Amino acid sequence: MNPNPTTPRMTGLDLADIHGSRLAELGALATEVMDRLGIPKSQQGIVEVGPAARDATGAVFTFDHEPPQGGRNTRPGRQPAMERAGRLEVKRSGINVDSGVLDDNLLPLESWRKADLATRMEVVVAHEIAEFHSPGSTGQWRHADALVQAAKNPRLSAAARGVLEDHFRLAVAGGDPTLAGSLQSARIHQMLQAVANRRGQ
Amino acid sequence: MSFVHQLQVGYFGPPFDARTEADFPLANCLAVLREYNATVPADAQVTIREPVKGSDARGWYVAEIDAHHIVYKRGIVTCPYLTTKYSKTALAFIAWLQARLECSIYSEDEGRFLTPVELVPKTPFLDQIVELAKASTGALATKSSEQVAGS
Repeated sequence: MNPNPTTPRMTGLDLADIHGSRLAELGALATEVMDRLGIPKSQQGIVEVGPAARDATGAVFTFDHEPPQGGRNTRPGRQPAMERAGRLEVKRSGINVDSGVLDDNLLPLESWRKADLATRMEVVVAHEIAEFHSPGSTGQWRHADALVQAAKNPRLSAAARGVLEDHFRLAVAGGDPTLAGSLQSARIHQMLQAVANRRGQ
Repeated sequence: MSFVHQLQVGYFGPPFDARTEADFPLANCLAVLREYNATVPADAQVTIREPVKGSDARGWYVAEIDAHHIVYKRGIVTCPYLTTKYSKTALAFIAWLQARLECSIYSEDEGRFLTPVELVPKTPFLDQIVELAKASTGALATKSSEQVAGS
């Protein structure tokens, strides 16, 4: 996914080292973006408790995702296995943005690399809120739904809409050179086929 | 759920696994990653970080796959598997790791543990996108014709 394979991807730890002192500023910007996109205050930030909790503070911007994913969204009932086992309770449903927006190579898109921070946050927020509201019963379906729906948010800036449209086109075209290259391995296909063949057992 | 979707592989402890993080410490994880690379062809291998970077509290960046980070934390490996398409390389790695450790695979996306068989997508991710895009276009077309009819 790195558009420039010679550039090592930054870890969440690197990003926290470099930008950690900007937490308040980044939080304020994320709040501004969420307000602009019409995200209700009650859905800005996630509060989870328990050993499987990943977002405990309710902050709209976090350095706590290792590795960074861009952002997260959740609501009660989305992780029944952990919730039933008492390992997780979602106290506040919603979305957040993480340090992935500080990574030029989070998405293999020139438009993402060139986008400013506010635009990248718009992109993530639009995707996360689309997943959050998606009626899909599986996470993969909701992710696909968000790829289709996110760019339709009428409050998006033109720049953010452009990145989301590029993101959609990338998914449709299969234009990910790193993944495309990896698919050429017959051995990988054999490994996955061997697992898939067990369906017949 | 998120922009970059991940799976977790490892020992989750009771009631999910009899084994715990103590059975799969960081040193074992690195040894298993090296074993994996010795087993598969070059284009299926993970890029192991030497030295690893991190902490027990935040997790350890141990490797990369398809230019995404793999993080080890408390007996569990977090590995990205879905962005704009499935990473077959990552799925193959996760399947191998589960078989090697006889451990669990947890999907935050699905909110449950997956069997190795469930790990392998039944249809290309693109098919889901196309289906949803068609449905979305159809809904818009219907809405548009209703507006015309009502005007």
